[in-house]
Amino acid sequence: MLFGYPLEVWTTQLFIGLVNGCILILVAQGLSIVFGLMGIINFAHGIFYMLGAYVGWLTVQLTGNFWLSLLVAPAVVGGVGVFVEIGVLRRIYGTKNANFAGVLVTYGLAIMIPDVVRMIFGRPGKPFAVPKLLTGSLFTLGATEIGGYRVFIIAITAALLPLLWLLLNRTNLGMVIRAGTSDNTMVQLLGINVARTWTTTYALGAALAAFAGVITAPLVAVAPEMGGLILIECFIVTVVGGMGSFVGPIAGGLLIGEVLALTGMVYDVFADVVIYLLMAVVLLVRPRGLFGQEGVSEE
Amino acid sequence: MLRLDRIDTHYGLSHILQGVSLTVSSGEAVALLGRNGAGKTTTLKSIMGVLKPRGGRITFEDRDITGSSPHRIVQMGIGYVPEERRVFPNLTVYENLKMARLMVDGGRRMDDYLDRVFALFPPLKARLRNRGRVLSGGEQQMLTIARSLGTEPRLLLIDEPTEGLMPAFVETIGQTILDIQRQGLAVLLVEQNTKLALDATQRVYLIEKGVIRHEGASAALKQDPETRLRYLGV
Amino acid sequence: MTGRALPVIARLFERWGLWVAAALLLAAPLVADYTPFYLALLTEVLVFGLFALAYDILLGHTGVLSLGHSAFVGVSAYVTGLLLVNLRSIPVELAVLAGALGGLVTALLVGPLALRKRGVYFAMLTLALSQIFYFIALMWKPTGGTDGLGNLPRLFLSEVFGGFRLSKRPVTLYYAIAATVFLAMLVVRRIHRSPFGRVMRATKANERRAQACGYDTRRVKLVAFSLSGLFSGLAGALLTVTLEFVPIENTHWTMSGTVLIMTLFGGTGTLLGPFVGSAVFVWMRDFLSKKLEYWEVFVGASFVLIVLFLPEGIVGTLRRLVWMGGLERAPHAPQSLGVPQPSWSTPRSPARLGGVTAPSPLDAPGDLAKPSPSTAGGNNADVPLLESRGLTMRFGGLTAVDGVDFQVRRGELRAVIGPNGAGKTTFFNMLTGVLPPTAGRILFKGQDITALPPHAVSRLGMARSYQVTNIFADLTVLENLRIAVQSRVTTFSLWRNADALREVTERAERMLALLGLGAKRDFPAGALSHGEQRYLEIGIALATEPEFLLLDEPTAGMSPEETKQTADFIRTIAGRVTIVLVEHDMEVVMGVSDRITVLNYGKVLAEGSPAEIRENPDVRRVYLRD
Repeated sequence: MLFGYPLEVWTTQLFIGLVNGCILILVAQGLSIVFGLMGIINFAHGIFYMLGAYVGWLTVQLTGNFWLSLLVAPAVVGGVGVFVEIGVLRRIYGTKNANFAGVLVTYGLAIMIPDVVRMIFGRPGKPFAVPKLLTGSLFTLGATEIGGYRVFIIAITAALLPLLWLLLNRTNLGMVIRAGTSDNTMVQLLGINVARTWTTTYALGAALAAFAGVITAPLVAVAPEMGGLILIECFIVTVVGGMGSFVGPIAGGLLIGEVLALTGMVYDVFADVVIYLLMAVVLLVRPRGLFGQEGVSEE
Repeated sequence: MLRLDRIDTHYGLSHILQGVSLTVSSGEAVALLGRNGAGKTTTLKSIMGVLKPRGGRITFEDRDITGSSPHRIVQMGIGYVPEERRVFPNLTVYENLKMARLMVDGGRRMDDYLDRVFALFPPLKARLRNRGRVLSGGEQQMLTIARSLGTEPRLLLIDEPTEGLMPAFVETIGQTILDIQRQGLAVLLVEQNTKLALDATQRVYLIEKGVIRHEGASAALKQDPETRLRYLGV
Repeated sequence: MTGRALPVIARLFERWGLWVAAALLLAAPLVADYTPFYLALLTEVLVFGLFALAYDILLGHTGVLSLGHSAFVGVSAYVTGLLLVNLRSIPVELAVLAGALGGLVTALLVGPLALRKRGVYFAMLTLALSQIFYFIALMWKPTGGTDGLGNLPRLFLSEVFGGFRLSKRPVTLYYAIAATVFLAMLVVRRIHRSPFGRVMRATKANERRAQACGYDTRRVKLVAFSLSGLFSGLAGALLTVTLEFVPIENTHWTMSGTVLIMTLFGGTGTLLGPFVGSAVFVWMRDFLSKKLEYWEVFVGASFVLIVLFLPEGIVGTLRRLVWMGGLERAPHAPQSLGVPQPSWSTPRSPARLGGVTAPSPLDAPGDLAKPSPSTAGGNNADVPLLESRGLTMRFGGLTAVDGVDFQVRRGELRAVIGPNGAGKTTFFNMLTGVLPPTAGRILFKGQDITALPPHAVSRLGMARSYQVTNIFADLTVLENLRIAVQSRVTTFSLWRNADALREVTERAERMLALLGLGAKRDFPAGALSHGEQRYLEIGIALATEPEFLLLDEPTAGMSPEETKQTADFIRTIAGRVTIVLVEHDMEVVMGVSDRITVLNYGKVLAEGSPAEIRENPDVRRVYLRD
């Protein structure tokens, strides 16, 4: 017994926290990369998560293939991201209150798009079945059966993160993103069309969020409101973990995921309040977050 | 090769360049000298499209490049070594150099290029895997020149390369400029170090408060302390 | 024709608009034929309009974007509701007041925390903190969770107001709400016209310059935030009375988005805008929703379009078209300053050094350059006015300023020059409190000011002008100067009319005349020519009546004529204030300075009279490097 709860409950919750954390890490990485390069805090990020879940659902409806949806969702939503960047965001770059306008415009999208989704798919959520391959429990942790699907989430995140790292650190695109994060103008002065990189980066962020959305779909309700909550949690992750670094969202995601799970042990709804307080504390004590880059977070 | 024709550039409303005209011919090295705030860096930035002139024309190899976007201008053959060096601090020396090659060949054939870089700046070889931020001032200057050369320019704009560097290094810079010229590049050099500038170039312009006040052969200006004092001194 | 008619109409509107509005409000039920449905709608529009008005105190007037206002309107709604439900005999007015105070208290809790950050981070903080209140509402039993709070008693006005019944009496309810909202609007209007209102708008126009004028902008924002919370709270309380119910949705973060949308639709910075925005939104919600099932798409899309193409909102755009249509915009080409050569410009004389200031012809009793009675060390010519000791600034491995000892005596005009990278701007930034030094001390009038923030430094009597023009571009030229003068008089006066501060306005007018900008008095400062803006730049600094003035490249980007006029101007004001000048134009430096300090590589290379510096071989070598 530990603090009044049996050990098995602790281990189960820690495991669930890990699963939470993985989703948060994926979403937060997208937000962090976009912010690092473009300086925009994308309020529409949650929308891409939600769209990923819906596109995934649609794919399964049409083809019956879950694995296909893992590829289709990020691709399609990445395309949506391209449209958003070119059609909407480009108009505000370099204008007088670009940061302000960026917040407002992406916020507007965050209001608008869920209703477009409601229009097309209807108000109630969509059920999303766990793929047959992953149903059933894999092993027992303490008193709980741990389902294969949750393990799958951990596994795929663990596989994806190194790939993301490789993308950022071993490819030309990643190199340009990293260079642009520190000196955008100089990148242009080496003959590189930065606008294209920005579009690609934004689409990458959207795709990451969409991927997170589609793999979460079997666990939560696929509903138009999905985006809102994940966005707020994701903000908290990036504030706590720090933006502009690779490790930041990972640390933040794991921490927040675990805090949510462990306080959920005590009192379900209380968990949300705790993470808000945690964010407030971090913002006051260490504004750039645990692993944030200096100068990235201050206004 | 490069011609500026009565360029007017503003920074906000501040009228920094007031009808600046100058030329650089193919294979030539030209110096642009003047006190702080005279408009030297603004002139270079206007050429590179970082600042868009409100009046006048800039032509390069008979093409009008006034106000084009910076990456296009670089692609057309003008390179830029900026004032604050601006190496990418979070990238390694290798990556800094590779960034320059992306527009040329996607960074595929680095070996030839690296050989040329090491021939010009041997110390960079040992630092290849170090990140930009740990390099000394002199090493950063070498890196940024090597990097700008990587875009295969035919004209290189160099902004205050010796600023904040030790005297020994100043000589290296002077030699580098002559080497570059020998390879056929034209150079437009902004410098506060008058001696270096006049030794390394054939012609010189003196700019004061956004207006070109003097033009002539560098060798001639070397023999003319009065003019130098008038526009550069106290 | 329209060009002349519009400003007239606008002026009429400004004077009589309030009466017209009051009359319309009184007559509305008549027009609506006493239909309960329309009356209820109108009531709601008024309440949401008040919410938007409260929100606009922060957004349109102080320039602060909050995404957490649902907290204020939510907390107050519950406070009012809970009081009414549990203390069934409580007068409804008291419950409403308590609700409003609830909003205020919430703001006082959230504000100090959130305002530690700026911009987007501040917005995110408010969003997160407001969610805490939503969850309290959700979890706490008395608030009823997702069912909301109902079971309110029948509501009656107190005997004082006639004891009229409010519940299920749409007409009475309407009048009660309309009266309250109208009164609240009058109060808010009063605040906007007060000296504090001017400070809010100066903070929005250019926060850093406002700080440099001596305003503690963090406190300003806190007060604005609290006021916004108070009036939002009032709106929330009134909403409870109107609905006779407290839905939990109003505490959700989407409510923060709704008020933002309403404010932007209507137009920020106006009194009418929030109500127009509220009307548009309620129309969309209640009428559009009947035609279009997914009307919220329309709302979101309009929002995006407005942000992109019509950022001033409906009323704001109308206002700009009407007002600006009448004013000529100054062209952008540099113009002559229109300042006749001052015939009284006095050449620099060495007798000025040592603390004796020559009287300027513009001095009148009670004029700007009163010597400060509280000078530590008095006018003792031996104690330097400003002194730095071993001042050092290191950025990582780079030492920009290296152990500079620097002294300026009262009445001097000192120039600081040096080649590129000598550290002049860094030095200036440390003196004015913008950059905290790595080492060393700065003493002003014998007092250590090293760690002081910019607004405190300003209040001690030190002012600066900036190399890159840093004026309040959206305020009029007169207001730019007036707000600087006001900083020495009052900040947090909320009730008086700012224009009633006669002396402040008069001093500003005199500064305006001194600068030769009288003709451009009512122009937005951003419309001035470059030279005029540079003058205004110095004027703002002078208007705070400093004892010490730092001028950072005042002639940057000027034509030769403007440069000469500026040099003359500097000579004129040198009599009333000690000046340190950074300049590259050697003619100006030589012609204007008493003494010159030369910096090189962050260290003092030489110091002396202009003649001495000119002859100095070290200086020559460093500049010419040949």
